[in-house]
Amino acid sequence: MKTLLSKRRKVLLAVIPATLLMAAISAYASISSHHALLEACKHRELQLVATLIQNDLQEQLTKAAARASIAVNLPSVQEAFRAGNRERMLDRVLPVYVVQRDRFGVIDAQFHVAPATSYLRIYAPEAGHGDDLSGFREMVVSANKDHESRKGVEIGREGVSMRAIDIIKDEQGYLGTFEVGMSFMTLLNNVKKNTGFELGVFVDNDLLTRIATLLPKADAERIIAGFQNIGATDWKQIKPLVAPEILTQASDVKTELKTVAGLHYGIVTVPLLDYKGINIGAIIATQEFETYQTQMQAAIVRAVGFSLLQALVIAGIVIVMVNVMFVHTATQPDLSK
Amino acid sequence: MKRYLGFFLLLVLFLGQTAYAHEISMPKNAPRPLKIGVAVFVNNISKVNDQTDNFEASVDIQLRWKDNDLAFNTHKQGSNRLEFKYDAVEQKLASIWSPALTLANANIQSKAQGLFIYADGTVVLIQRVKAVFDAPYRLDAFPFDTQNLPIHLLSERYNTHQIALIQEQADLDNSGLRKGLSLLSWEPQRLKFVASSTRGWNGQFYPEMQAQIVLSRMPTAYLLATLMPFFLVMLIPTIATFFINLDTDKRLGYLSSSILALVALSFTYSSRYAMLPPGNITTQLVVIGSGYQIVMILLSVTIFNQINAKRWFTNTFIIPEIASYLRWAVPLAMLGLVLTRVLLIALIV
Repeated sequence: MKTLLSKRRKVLLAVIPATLLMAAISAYASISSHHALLEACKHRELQLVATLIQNDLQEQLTKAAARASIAVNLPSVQEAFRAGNRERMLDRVLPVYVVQRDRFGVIDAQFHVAPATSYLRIYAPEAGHGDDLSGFREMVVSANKDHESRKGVEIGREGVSMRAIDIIKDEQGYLGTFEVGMSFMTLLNNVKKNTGFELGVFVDNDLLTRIATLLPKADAERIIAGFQNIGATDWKQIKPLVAPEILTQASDVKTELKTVAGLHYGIVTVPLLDYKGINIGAIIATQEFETYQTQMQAAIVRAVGFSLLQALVIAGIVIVMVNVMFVHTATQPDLSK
Repeated sequence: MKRYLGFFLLLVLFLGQTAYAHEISMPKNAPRPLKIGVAVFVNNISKVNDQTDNFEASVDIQLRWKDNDLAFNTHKQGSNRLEFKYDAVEQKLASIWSPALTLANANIQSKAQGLFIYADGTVVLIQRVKAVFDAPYRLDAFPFDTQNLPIHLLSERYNTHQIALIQEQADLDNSGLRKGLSLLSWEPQRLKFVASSTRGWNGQFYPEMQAQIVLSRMPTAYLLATLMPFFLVMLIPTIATFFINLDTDKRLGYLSSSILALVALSFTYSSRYAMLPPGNITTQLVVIGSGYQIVMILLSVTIFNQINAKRWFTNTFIIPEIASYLRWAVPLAMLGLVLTRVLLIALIV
C-alpha cells in the first residue's frame, strides 16, 4: 500500500508541475507574441510620423520655392530692381505677400544683392536695409555666388524658418535673389491634423540669440537643455515629455516609449538639419499610447485565463485517473483468492 | 383676394430684404478664412445622466477674432481695451460682425456675456453658459467606461472658406477643467478638442469644434451592486449540487428556484441598466449564470444521480473521484470566467 501511495505521489509530482509548466509556457508564448506585435505597431506608427514630418518639411520647402519663383519672374519687379527702386518693388509684391503671410504661413520675404546683403524685407521695409548677412546666411551667399536657387532650413534675423531662395535676372544679367521663409507652425499643424500627434520645434538657443536679433527674447520655460522651443501645437502637453537627453542626443531619427504620470506615450525625434546639414535642433512629436497598453493588458488576461483553464482541466483528469488507477485499485480486496 | 395675396408677398419680400440689409458683413481687411480662436473652460458639472443621454454643466466659452475696422487709438481712448457687460454686449454685438457660432447640442438654461475689444482690433467674446448638453454615451465598457462629453460649437452661417475654428497656445492655456471639480461616481480627467467640418444643406462645409470633457466612471459601487446578487444566486446550485447529499428530485427543485432567481435578476438588470448596449457586463453575467445552471442540471442527472452513474460507470471508484474533483473545479472555473470577462470589459477600448 505504501509503495502504491509513493508511486501515486511520484506520478502527481511529475504530471502536475509539468501541466502547470506547459500552461505557463503557453501563456508566456501568447503574451510575448502579442507584446512583439504591439511593439512593432507602436514603432511603425512612430516611424510613419517621422516620415510624415520629413516629407512635410520637404513639401513646405517646395512651397516656399514656388512662392519665391512668382516674385522673381515678374517683369515689373525685375525692372524696379534694375532701377534700384525699392518703393516700387514693395508696391508690386507687398499685396501678394501679405495674403501669403496671413493665410499660408509665410513669415519672411526678402530681396538680397550679392554677396549677401539685405536689400528689401517685405514685411519690415525699414529694418536691416544694407545689413550684411554673409556671416550667418550661407544659403544667401551660396545662391548669389553660384546664381542658383537654394532651399533649406536656416536661422535668419527674424528666427528660424523653412526657406527657399530664387535668383532674379533680366536681359541685362544677374540682379540678386529673393527669399521666402515659411513658419514651422504650418508644418506642425499639418502633421497634427493628419496624425493627432502633438509637436514642437526646438532650436539651439545660442545660435538663435546670436543670429536672430530681431526675434523677441524667449520665455525661460521654453528653453530646455540649451534648446529653445520656437513653436508647439500644445506646449502644455509637449513640455513634460521632452527630457534634455532627447534634445541633446537628437542626431538621428529616434522613436521612444515613455511613461509619464502613469500614462504611456510614444515620442518621435526628428533632427532639424540646416541648409549645410548641421544639426541645429529637433522636431519632437508625441502621442498618448494608452490604447496599445490596454490591448496588451487584455492579451495578458486572455492568455492567463486560458492557461489556467487548461491547467485546471488537465490536472483534474490526471488526479482522477491516478486516484482511480493506483489508489482504489490497490485497496480493493482480491476476490480471486 | 388677389390684392391681399399681392400685399402679403410684398410684405414677405420687404421683410426678407430688411433682414438681409441688417446682416453685417465680415471684416473686410481680414484674411480668409478668418481665424476664430476657441477656448472652453468648464466651471462645474452638476449632473451626468447616462439614462437620458445628457449632462448639465456650466462652461465659459471664449471666442477670439480680429477685426481691423474696430482698432482704435489707445491715447484717444485712454485705455487699451473697451469692455462691454450685460445688455451692452447685445447692443454692441448687434453693431459689429461676430462669428455667430451656436452650441449645437445645448439646451441653454442661462447665459451671461462679456465683450472686450482691444486696441489692435482683437475682439474677445466670453459667454458663461449653464445648459443641459446632449451626449452620446458609449457604455460598452460599463462600469469601467470613460466618456467624452461634448460641448459642440458649430458655425451655421459661415462656411470653411469664410471662418476657421482654431486653437493657439493662448486658447489652450485658457481652456480646461476647474481645479477640484468633483462629481458623484465620476472622476474628471481632462478637456480635449476635436475640430472638424460638417456638410450643410447647400452642399457647403461648415466648421465645427467639440470640446470633450473626459470623465472616468468609478466602478466599485456598480461592480458590487452587479456581482454580489449574481454570486448569491449562483451559491444555491453550487451548494445543492456539490456540498449537500440530496436526492435528484430535491436537488432539481433547488436548481429550479435558482434558475427563477437568475431570471428575476436578469429582469432587474434590464430595468436598472436599460441604457446598456447588448453584450454588456450584466448580459454576460446572465449568460455565464445560465451556462452554470445547465452544467449543474447535467451533473445532477448524470454523475450525481446514483442510478445513472452505476449504469454508465462500471468502476465504482471513479464517480466519487470525479465528484471530489468537480466540487472545487467547477466553482473555480466559473469564478475565473467571471473574473476574466470583467477584466476584459474593463480593458475594452
